[in-house]
Amino acid sequence: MPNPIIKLLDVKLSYDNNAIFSNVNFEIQPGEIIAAKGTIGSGKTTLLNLICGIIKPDSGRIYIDRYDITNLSPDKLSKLRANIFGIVPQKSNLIPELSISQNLELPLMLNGINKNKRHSIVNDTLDKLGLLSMSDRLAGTLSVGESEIVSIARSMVSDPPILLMDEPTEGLDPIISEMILSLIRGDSIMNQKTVFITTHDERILNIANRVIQVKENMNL
Amino acid sequence: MLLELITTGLTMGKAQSRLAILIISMTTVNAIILSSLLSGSGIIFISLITFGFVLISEYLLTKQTIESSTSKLMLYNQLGAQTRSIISIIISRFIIVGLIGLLSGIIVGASVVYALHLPLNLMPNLLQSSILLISILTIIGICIGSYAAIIQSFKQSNLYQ
Repeated sequence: MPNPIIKLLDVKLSYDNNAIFSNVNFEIQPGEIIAAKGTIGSGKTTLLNLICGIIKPDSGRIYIDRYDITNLSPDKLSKLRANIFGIVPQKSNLIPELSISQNLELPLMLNGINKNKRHSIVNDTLDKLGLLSMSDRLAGTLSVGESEIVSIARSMVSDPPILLMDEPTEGLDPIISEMILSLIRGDSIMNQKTVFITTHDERILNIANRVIQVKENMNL
Repeated sequence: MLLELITTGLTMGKAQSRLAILIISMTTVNAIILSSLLSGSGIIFISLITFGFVLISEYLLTKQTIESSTSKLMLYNQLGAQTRSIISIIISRFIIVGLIGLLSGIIVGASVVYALHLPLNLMPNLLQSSILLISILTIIGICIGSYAAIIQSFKQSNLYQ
């Protein structure tokens, strides 16, 4: 069995003296699709933010690849986040005054990729997703569904090994949801991506290799 | 990369930029005109008041800019931008906008003073002392005000790791 790409060890987190997680232990193998489900306010988004190091746990260890991110300096953590994670937030946060292709360029820019290479990667990605014809459209003019697809494309553009998605099909119509499901499944199978998704959507739960019930104590 | 990010729409909308330019410009004009009417410690006093005003206004403007750009800042954080780079980008924008305001303020202020004091021929002395002092203090005020607001806002929003 390969080494886990994500590993949480005795993670504890509280907010205003209320325990959110008191004993979280789980491992995720490379290439797995993991769905995290739970009631509203159960800590699904918090768990996702812990995994990518945006929130630090009160105690415990979080290993990403071979790095203990609870001990990394802010600079190293930022570099790791840029190289390892593709993040799709719950509310698509594209920059409205930039075009679709400019929005897709941002993660590549932060990875220090030069302009010509960036254009070629962005065009390839847009072409694969059938979005090339609308590459110059401003993100502010997109519908909710289109924004979500572009947001997923942005998370994939730098080819990160781990995708973290926060309720990517929430409030979308079935056709768009189906497109997003195909994207997630296709990327995971073709490129051996590890995908961690928080969701209530039964269709996502069905394509996941494992489903985690998010609660205060998780041992998986 | 930093230059590209500065021009790629992080923080400060057009309205905020115009407001920042107007505030710095008006403050500079007032300071130059008042300085020309005073001498010695009076000039230093006016310069310090200007410094305090710039410091407070830049602090408030930066705080307001950050609060209205939370989702953008969170995005850059998620994409792996270093907090140091984000701070540099925001301060750079404020300095650029501040310099535009300062320059226009100096042009307008000096023109008014020149028109007022032409018979007294005070311009060379004024240029050497008060404009230089006001400019330096204004730039320091922009830097300190913006930096203080950034650090405080980032700590509150958990972005400053």
